[in-house]
Amino acid sequence: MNLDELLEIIREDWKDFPVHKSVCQAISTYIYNNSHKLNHISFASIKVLLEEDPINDNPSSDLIILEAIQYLSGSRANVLDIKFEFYDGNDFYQLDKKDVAEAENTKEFFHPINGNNIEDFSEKIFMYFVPSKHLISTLHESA
Amino acid sequence: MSQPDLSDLSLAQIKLICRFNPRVKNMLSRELVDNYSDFVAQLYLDIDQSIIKIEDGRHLQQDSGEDLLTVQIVNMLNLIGYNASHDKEKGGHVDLVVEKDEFTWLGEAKIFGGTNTYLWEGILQLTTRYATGRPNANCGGLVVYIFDEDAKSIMDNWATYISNKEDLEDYKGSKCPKNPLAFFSQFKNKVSGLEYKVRHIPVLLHFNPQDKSGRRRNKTK
Repeated sequence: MNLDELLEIIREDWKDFPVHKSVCQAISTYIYNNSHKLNHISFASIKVLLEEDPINDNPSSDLIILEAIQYLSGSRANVLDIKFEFYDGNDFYQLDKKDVAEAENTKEFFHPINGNNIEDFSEKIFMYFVPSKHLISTLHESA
Repeated sequence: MSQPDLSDLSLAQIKLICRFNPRVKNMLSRELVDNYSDFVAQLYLDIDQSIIKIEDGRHLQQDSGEDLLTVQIVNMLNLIGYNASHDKEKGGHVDLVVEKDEFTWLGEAKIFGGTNTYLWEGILQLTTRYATGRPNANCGGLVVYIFDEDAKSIMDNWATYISNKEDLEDYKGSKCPKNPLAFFSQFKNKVSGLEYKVRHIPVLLHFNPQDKSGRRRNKTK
């Protein structure tokens, strides 16, 4: 779907929550217009984007931003894909969702290279975002 | 090798932010689902949370029909990342379709009207018209809106009724470990020949307060 269609869906879905609606629309618009140069979107960069958005005159809480990200990475909006990486203090390693799921289920995570048990893995596995595959192919088709 | 952007969120930080907010509490679990069984298990938790919100406001739902009630569940599921819809075309107009990536779950919604025959129609619609029972789509649900009192008796009666139906081949009934009023039915889907599992989910909408202001309101009706 194109940006206008998505903004309409957001308007409808979040009609009872005006702040969430603005946040979702601002993030979506930015992602759609800049997808070609975005390959690692951090949570903090989304916060900065919202602070700089001229339409959004209220800073949004971390919780609201996370709710927006949850919605935008879901199957309905399909704007963002969520990615995970592990940082061991020196290097970072991309993780599959399966690896993270297993760590969450077993409460154990092993270094992808040396196999060491990482005790505080919750603090060393990070979430970031990229424009979704669906979005990229939509933009290619309309180019 | 450069450092990662430490303005990313760690799993620990996400859990801290999400801990007390029902809409994002299970955000990680939803994101990490990678098989159909886990998708369905998480979906049931999320549907149950949506139903609790409806039940908490049941005094405002006394004139709500099936469509309005179902749309509320759909809306709540959409806000937490599902692609849910009401009345979507899938062999007919399905009351509740929930999709996430390659996974699909279909639901029929019925108001309990005093007999089991209307609920049985819902099962027939779900399992012979809409659901194919193919892999990644072999679970569904019957959402039962109950405005009468004693939902337990209604659901127990319904469970007995459906277990005695000869139309359902290889039938197995089982309790729901999360909700004592819900239950599961498993049987052979006629389209695919594969096992199809239905969760029967009550929504408790009976509202007849007996305190002073409730009695006063009943007198003026």
